[in-house]
Amino acid sequence: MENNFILSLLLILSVGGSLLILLLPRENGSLLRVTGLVISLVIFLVSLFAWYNFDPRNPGFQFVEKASWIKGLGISYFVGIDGMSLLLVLLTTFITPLALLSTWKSIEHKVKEFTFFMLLLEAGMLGVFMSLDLFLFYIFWEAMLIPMYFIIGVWGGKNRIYASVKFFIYTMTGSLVMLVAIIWLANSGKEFTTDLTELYKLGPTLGLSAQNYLFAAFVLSFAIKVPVFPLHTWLPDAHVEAPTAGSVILAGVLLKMGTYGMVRFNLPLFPDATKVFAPYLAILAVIGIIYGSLVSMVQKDMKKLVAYSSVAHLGFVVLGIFGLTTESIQGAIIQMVNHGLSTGALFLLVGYLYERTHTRVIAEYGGIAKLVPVYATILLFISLSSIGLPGLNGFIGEFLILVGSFSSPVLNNPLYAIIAALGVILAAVYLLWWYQRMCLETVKNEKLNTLTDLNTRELFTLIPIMIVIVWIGIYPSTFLRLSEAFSSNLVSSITNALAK
Amino acid sequence: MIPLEYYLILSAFLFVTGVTGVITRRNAIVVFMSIELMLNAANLTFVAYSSFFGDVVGQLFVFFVMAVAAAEVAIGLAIIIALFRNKETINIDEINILKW
Amino acid sequence: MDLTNQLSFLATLIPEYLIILFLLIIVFMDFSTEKIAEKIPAVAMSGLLLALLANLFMTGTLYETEKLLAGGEIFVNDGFAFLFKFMILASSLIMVYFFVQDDEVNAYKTRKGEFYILFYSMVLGMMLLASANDLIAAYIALEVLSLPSYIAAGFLKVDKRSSEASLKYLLFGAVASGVMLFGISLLYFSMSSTSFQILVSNMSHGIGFDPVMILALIFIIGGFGYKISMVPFHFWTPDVFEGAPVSITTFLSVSSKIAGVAVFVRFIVYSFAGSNLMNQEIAGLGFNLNSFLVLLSILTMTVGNLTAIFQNNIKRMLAYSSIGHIGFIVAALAANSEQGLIAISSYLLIYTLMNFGAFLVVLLIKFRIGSEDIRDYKGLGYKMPFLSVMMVIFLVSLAGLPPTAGFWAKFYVFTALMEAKLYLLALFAIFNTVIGVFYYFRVMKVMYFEKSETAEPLPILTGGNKTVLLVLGLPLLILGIYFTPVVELARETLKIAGF
Repeated sequence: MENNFILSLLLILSVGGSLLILLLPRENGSLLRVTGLVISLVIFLVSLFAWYNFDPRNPGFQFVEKASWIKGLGISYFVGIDGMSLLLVLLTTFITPLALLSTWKSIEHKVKEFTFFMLLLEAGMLGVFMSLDLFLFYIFWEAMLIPMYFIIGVWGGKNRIYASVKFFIYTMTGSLVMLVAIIWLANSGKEFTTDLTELYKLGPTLGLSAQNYLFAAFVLSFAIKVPVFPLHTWLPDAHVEAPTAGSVILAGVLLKMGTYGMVRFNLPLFPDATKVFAPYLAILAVIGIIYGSLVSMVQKDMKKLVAYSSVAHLGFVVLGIFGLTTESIQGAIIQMVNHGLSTGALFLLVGYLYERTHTRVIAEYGGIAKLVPVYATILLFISLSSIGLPGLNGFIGEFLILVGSFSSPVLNNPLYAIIAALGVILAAVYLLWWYQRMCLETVKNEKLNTLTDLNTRELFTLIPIMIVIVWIGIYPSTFLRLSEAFSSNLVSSITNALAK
Repeated sequence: MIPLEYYLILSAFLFVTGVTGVITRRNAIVVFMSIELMLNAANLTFVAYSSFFGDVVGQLFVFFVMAVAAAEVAIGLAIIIALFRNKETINIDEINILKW
Repeated sequence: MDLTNQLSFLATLIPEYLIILFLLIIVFMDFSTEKIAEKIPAVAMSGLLLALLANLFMTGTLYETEKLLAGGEIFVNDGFAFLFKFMILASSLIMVYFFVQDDEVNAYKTRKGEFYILFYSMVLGMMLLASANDLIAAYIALEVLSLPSYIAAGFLKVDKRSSEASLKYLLFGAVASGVMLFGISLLYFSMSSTSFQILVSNMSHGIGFDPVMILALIFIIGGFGYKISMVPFHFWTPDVFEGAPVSITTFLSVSSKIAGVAVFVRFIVYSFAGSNLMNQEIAGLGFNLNSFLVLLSILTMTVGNLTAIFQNNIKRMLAYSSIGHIGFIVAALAANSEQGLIAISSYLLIYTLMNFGAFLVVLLIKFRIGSEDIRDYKGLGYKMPFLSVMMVIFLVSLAGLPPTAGFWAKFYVFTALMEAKLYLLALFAIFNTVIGVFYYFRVMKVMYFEKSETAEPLPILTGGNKTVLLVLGLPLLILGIYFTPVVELARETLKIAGF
């Protein structure tokens, strides 16, 4: 295939872009912002080009590049994308410019460092989604932690230090366990290799107990990132303290790395163990859905509400993954994108309000629909998409997941889907109730009278998201067909491995 | 002739005396003397074995150890004097600015 | 050994001769006029540089003739020794730069020559340690290294903390070497030799472990363990590190540990590996030497890292963290494989770079803000951006995160552990890495996330400072992306080491 260099180009652009930022003068804030935005837009265009050249019927990896890196250990620079990675790469490149644009005014000091870290973060995320070498994957996975640590720690809220350290320690623990599992796995073949395509052949041939340990190690690391209940406690802290752009990236892309890892590594590498663990993870996912929804309901802080709603939404994704049917995995993949869009947009909206009023306490608001009509309309729109209203994106994902897991042969119990469906109703309850307390009722707080509506820049960050939301809701096959070949291929290969 | 084991027992006794001195005594100079006892215990073992089996290596080693011990004492006493000038004490319990 | 062999071995000692020669030159320079004495640091540096070149040349010759071993029973000069001597000399070269920068040491103008004489004796001791192949040689070399370092730790005569550190170091050191000497005498008593290889040859004749031998081994390991501050022989480390001048602390925590590790590794490997003694159960105790090393390693890394969390003095923190790193090295040794030895060599190379870097930053900061307390580092990230960015690189590398070389160093240790099926040890290593992240990042946190109370500008760095920082820091990043050269170097030198 031609255009082989395109994935490396994405990485080079983001790393090179961040270095370019370092060369610019510190005093000129707007130059830094514009450069950062332009670089991220160029990256987005390049990724669109990749989409254009992508062959959706091919379930294998495309745009593959391979170069030997560490000879003795069979580690190589090996990148490539399939349908699932393409969607997530697009999500990443789509969200990053919006996040940069959203902080135009709110980040005033250390703009240079901020833009630098954001672009570095983008490089890390892209690398995670593209790597086909476990080792390369691990490097990107870890390397991405440092920019995020700084983004939360330097530009965050009051408790930012606590939140950033907690975020770091949680993820670090998980990823080190994964590192050991990677070495173990790479070592269990004839010779040491971390080439994913080789390991796809090797993994299913391992004994059940080895698979179980390896699966547990990988899933622990991913579950922390997702986060799966009960490993979610770092998430609300990190979200509440992070600056708006940080929250958007965190919710929009970072959390997806966990679910991505499960689909990319856990399922195909350890099919036997997947069968053993699937019911337990599905139970945790369902608990996460219900728990996340209930806890969101009682939050006083808007950002925490959205953060806990993430726990619930990602519960759906995990349920879909371990439903192990083509529909449910399709649903999980599209739901990853949906959650990135809807929750990202919710964090943007919360952030914009906070910039104006400097409070996130829900009780201090009320009746703002009259004061800021455009804002209230968009908020309603996004909330409805997050709830899963038919015609908007959330519905497609949740519907596929529920249908898939309802009839899942591995879970073999419709109860999971039924309880999860309760979560959809709960989502409607907490989001609409929040909307009611915020936007309807009467204006109690006099300070709010000076509230101004969204300006053009802010609209520019939200409208693209809204367009995609409607697009997925009305004509999902543009996106579903990208991951269709991948999902059915994955499910059939797992079924084959289990049948042996 | 005195059996070899007797030398070994004597040297073990000397060594234990040295260790006890290091642990229980609080005067830096006495501690230092106890350390010398430990070195001499080792020397005794070397010499005893060496003369018993006619192996010259042990005796050779003892000369090295004696030279090292002499150097150690010279340095040790100098450091103790330097400390005494600063703190007016050589009691180990009072040497406690640095704590783990 | 015949005469030609002996002569060719003597030729491989040229670096040592050079060191002795320059030691004498410095002594004479110190005696002469003040103007000449001022040149001492430059002369010291050129002496080290010459020795380094000679060392490289000897390595090349050895490599070309493919001779496995030069030397004989007491000292050997093999690839392993040359690699370690290379590290020792290169690190000593950087040490001279530290001495020049250390204003505490420079305050004693008239005693400057004395300081370099001590330093050169230590370098000589370390080089001898790296090629010692006999317990007598190891003991003497250890003392040649230790005796001057007692004085160096107390070099600031009028400073209470410095002289206190010195006395503590002396007492612990003398006890440790006494215990070790007694161990050697016991081993000599039961084995009738002091050569490193004697254990293997005697054991292969069917002699098992007897109680006297076990006691002797514990004593000897204790003596070596003291030098590399392995728990439970580490008590001196934090106190001495805090009390001594920064440059000496750096020396003790980096250079002298390289030498200590060299002799410890050679002792363990020559005495036990290659036979199945590592895994032979010690009669009646229910465990073997290998599990003893595993135990020491777990203790060392856990105690070192856990205690490091609570330190506010950055020198103490780095001291405890270096104990943690030694734990990783002992872990690789416990893996008892070629992979493990490669991991040790590469770990030490990287350890040298990153620890030197971190200590240099500490030193530069100390003479600008006048404090070694981490809490006083507030807001330094913005006051001294260049220095702080370099510090971040060093700390991230120490914590073992990609994309720095520190990650690879840890990675190879992990690989060795997994190959040796030491899963428990690997778990502890993970646990410790996480703790490490916690306290290394605390420093970064204070530097970047907390605001400084004062806004007064600090004296800026000189071009020389920046260059040296870059020399230490950039390799960490470059090797972080392409680590193969380090591993290949370690593998090649082991090949001619005859392990």
